Amino acid sequence: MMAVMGEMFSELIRYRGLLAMLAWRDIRVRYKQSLLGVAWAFLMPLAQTLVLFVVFKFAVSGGTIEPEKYDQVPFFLFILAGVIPWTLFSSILATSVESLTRNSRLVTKIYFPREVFPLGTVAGALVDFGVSLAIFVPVYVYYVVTDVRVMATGRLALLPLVLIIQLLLAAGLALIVSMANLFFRDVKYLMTFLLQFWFFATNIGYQFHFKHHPVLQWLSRVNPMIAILDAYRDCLMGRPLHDPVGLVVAAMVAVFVFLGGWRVFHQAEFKFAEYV
Amino acid sequence: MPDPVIEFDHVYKKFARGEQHTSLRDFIPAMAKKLWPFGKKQTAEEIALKSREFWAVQDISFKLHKGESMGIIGPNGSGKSTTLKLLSGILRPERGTYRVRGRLSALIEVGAGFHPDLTGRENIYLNGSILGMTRKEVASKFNDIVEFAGVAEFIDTPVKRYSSGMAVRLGFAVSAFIEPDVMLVDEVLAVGDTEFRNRCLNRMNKMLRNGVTMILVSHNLSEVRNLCQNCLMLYKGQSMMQGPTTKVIEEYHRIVGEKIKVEQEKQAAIELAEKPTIAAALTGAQLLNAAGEPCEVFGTGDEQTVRIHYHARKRINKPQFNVVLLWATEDYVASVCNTVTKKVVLDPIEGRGYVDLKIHSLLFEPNVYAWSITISDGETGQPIDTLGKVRFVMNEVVPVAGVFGLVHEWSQPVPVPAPDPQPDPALAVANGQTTGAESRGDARDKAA
Repeated sequence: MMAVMGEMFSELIRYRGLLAMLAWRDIRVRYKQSLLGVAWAFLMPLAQTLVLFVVFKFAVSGGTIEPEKYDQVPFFLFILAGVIPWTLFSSILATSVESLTRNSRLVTKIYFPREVFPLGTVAGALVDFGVSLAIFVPVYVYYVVTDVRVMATGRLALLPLVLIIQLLLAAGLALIVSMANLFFRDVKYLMTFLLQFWFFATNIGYQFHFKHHPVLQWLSRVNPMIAILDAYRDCLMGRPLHDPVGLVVAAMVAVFVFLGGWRVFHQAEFKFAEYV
Repeated sequence: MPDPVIEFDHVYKKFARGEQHTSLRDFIPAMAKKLWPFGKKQTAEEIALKSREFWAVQDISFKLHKGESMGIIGPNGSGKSTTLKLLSGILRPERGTYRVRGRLSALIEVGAGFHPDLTGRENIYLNGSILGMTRKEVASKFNDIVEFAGVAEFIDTPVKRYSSGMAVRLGFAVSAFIEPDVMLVDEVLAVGDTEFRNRCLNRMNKMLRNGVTMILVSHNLSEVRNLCQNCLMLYKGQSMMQGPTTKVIEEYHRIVGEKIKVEQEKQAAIELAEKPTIAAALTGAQLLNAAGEPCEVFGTGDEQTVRIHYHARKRINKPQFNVVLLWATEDYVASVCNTVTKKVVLDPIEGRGYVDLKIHSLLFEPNVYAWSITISDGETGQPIDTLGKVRFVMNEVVPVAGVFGLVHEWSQPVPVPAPDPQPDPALAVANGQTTGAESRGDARDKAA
């Protein structure tokens, strides 16, 4: 088992150049012949944040936001800090699901580890995420300066760790869904529905208050994205994690999904050319 | 002797006919069983064929040492490409082992990794890394690649604006500059113009001289003959013959000839049944040799008679025939014999009968050719019926160097009196007996 994993890693490292090339290709193609180009990477989450802000502030809450319902996080910052990681997560799943089928000519003609396709979409989405920080950082700095509740402390150093957990989860799922879609094209339709459902099951535009409901609290463990977004927000606010257990569970789920997904992918890989 | 670079040892690979896994109910248990890491290895019976399966490759073995080259020939669906895919690791065999030592590069589909929206430059880097080159390697060969493809002017234009020929040239050029130990080539030279094809052949020859081990799959037998010392003939997944290329190709022509005969008879029966209402149906065509016997395999320089059988249900006053010779996987028109251009006026036809078309000398390279025959009504100018793909095989009796042989003869040396003080330049041209060759030269252009 360990030997196989070691071989999988070393093969992937050997083909890292190709992985980077494919990620670069996806980004390049996405913004070619577009007027605004890479600006889309932060315009999309910004637009979504504004929509959620208006909907939840005026349509749902009638114009007044109660800070305690949002863990004292300023409402706009709360949404933006949810939308940007969520966009990273959902765009990985949405693009990876067809990453193998879209490249079927390569899958059937040339040999290299097929992991590079779904993992390439992870890398591509990560670049977009980096660009979207261009809008997040100024907004965050604004809140640090104007709002006493938001404090930039050493806890910011935890953010990369949370990001890694999120990426492992997304990459594992990307491997699974891209493979599943190669065998059954239904998966890409299911994916659209699943992402919509998952969006509402995650604390992006609102916060869940599961504490008084044991069943719901257990359910919150099933969706690791809840603990991940909570952790992001706690770090940004400069306060201790209010759900450290949730984050540890999320991390374990992420590692399991990633290694398990990769292992299954690797086992099935040589069947791809026959079934695609 | 050092270890062979490529070793293929009793390899089997099966495929299923029809749609695969029509239901999730079959698929999920099957997959789960395969992925379960603690299960026992499949036994021989479990590997045996199920009802819808067939062997795409069955018990194939071969070995190649460094610098050797082997051609794989055989009709469509004989397992040639599957063999290459097994070698490159895309497919995994059910039984048997194989081994490739060194860096492998597969020229299986040129430009498979091209993205139409990216420029030529970007695609060179992308395709290079898909084929296993590092960025640095591509950069060091970049100028050679561009020059080889001849697309320097368009290097910063998106590939979607390229002509298909340019895209193919660029695709081949990238592949041609990898420096692999083992090169797998599948039918890639069927594209591009003659000049580019020759450039590719030269390049491959150069790679062979540099010690690359090569396996070439091609329908173009002269290519195989030019590049490979050894050859493997496959038929329905099985190895029919393995050995020196000329021997194998000879045998291939003999087998294909027999197969064509059977097919042709079957086809004729079907076509006859399907044509009850046509005014003048072509009911069949026979190929006859010089002795007037039916024949499917002809040698270079042989005479051939195409006997076209018709059944005219009503009188056709001015019957016309157009007979096209198709070449190289039947994509190219090699030559045309037409009663109109030949200014032959045929007598009216009615009822059953036949027309003979006599070819004096077949001087083509060894390959499989096909006639396509059309009968038209000269009064209306409308085609009435077509008989497609009457195949025959050219075997190499007298070697044909090149694509076409020319009808020619040599004279004995003719002494010329001592030169004049002022030589007449016109005389030199007149001496260079070119007249007979000109018309054949045209035919060759058409074929290419």
